Amino acid sequence: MGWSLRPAFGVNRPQQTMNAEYLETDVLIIGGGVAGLNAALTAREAGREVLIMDKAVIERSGHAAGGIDHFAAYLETGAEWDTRDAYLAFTGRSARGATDLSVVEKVYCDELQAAIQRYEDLGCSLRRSDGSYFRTQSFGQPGPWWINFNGKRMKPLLGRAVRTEGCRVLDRVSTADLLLHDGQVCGAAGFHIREGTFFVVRAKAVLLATGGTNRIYQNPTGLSFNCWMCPANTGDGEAMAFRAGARLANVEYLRMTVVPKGFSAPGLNALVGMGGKLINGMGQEFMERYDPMGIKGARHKLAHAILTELKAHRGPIRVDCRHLAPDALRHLVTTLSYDKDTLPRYFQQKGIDLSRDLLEVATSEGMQGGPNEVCGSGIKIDRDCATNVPGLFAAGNSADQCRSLHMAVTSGIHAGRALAAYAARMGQSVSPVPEPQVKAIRERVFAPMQESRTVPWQEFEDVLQRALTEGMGPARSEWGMKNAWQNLDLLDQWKDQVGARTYHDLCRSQEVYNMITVARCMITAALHRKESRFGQCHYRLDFPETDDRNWLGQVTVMKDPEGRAFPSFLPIQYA
Amino acid sequence: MPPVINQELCTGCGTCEDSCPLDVLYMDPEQDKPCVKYPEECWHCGSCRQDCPEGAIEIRFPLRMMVSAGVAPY
Repeated sequence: MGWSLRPAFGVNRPQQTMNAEYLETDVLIIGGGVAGLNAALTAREAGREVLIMDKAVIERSGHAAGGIDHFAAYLETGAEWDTRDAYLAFTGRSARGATDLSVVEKVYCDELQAAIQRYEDLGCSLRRSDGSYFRTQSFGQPGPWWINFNGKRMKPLLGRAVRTEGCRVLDRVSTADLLLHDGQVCGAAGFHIREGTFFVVRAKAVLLATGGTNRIYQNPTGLSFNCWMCPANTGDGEAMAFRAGARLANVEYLRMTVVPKGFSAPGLNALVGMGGKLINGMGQEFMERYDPMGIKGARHKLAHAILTELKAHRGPIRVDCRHLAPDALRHLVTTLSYDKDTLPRYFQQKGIDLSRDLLEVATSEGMQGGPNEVCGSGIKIDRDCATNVPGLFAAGNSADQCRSLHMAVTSGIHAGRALAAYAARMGQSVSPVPEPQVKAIRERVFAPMQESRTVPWQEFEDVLQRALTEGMGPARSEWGMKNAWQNLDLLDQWKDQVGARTYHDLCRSQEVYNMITVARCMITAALHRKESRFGQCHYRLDFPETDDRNWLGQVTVMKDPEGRAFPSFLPIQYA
Repeated sequence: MPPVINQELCTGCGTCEDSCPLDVLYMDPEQDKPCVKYPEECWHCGSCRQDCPEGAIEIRFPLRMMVSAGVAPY
């Protein structure tokens, strides 16, 4: 594979004795993606000082970096499916056992108008030039909730707005850990991924908005960064929250989607939303055999159906768009390019013309993610985006109730309000810097730079992916999951051998440490849930039925006094 | 491996270096031109391609993406 620990060109062995920079703010936002930047704008509008830390440069960071094409909304147009009640009913039905509607009402419904207005203010309207919305339907939803729009400039516009409003930004700073004082989160520490400068930020309120967890399962192409969601989103927030004593929820669920075979690009929504057909190697449309909604059904049902067809040697699976009207086809190809800028070039280079050719598709790599487009997984939040640890909040894809662009924006705005209010309540009282913690974090973070450490992070990541894919895939059993756990125990013995020679690789090393923490929480939750739910998201061979009598609710995971993950079950009532 | 920078069109402005969400592109201080330092960490998101003011960046997909062969390990 060519993994090596030799420094790349022009890089001398970096100094480990860099000075630390100390900063102070009202609100600290970790992760400058869509949720984080929306939170920043709202907290700033409320008059608070805001500081953002991101591993990349915020104009192009996170899952929506290169663009995005759809935003889910009900618009109260009079149709029965186009209402708040219809959205909540669908969420309660399709994410039953994972969604908490009392939270969804606050973090999505109550902020939807503010979110749509935010797009107008940014100059990135969800409308077409004639003022109307282009809406499509997919994934089992009762009506065309997806607004198609051109989000290719959304992140640059958000980034510029945040800087213009006077938020401070630490670009290319990877957060290592949260700081705690008297059981309250009071800041965070991190390092610059090129220069190694160590930053200590004190804050009155802290938001984790670091996205989901990717790169923990094998990629079908063998290319780990060829993943559906952003490969920089590696569960850093979830792992930091866990170490700080926060509760995680819905982390047992494996998320998979359907992608062009070879390129793990988003686009399924557009392909099925515009009326593409799925056919197997025998030329048959097969989705109706799996789901009465057919190709318009839930994503996990599409993934399950394709996995089953392929296992039965009825592949290859292809999408047929040849019957679409020229206008629809043009819209489809344009929308695909909004969601993944390079997808049309990929088709071009491969010689695929959707008006003439079938597109081969397959299931993507696995990832830790919520059960569907309206329910997330990760750090458990309440109605104010607050976690169980005082001073710590979460939003976007790293929060257990939030998923997709629409909830990244609304929960970001909602968290921004909560952060501003919390910081205001804290008044002038800024916690002192917990120096022993800072010292411990610093030693841990820079340890891989020691010359004696010689295992590349890529090798560690590869084995982690193999262990999870083998034991924690779309079909699970107690023995398989325990085997995965034992393999992680063995892998853990190599943790202190992972080495880095550049700060870039140090950042990646930290990512694989966070990935293994999320993997442990995932196995812990999945072992605890002795039933199956949401199709291949959590399918247990030893408990194949959904058991609402005993398991209608969330499995949550927290650390015990020894720092190990322990599960508990939290029932949720549904009307 | 992606991205490919057309050295004749590239003016060395450094925009692409800041655009990359995966820290793949670095300005080479000796050449004053960007260089693809971590090609295997490219997400093919096209941020660099979109932001390049000279249109000097194209994406070349790895062979494993171009030829859709292979059985998924699931």
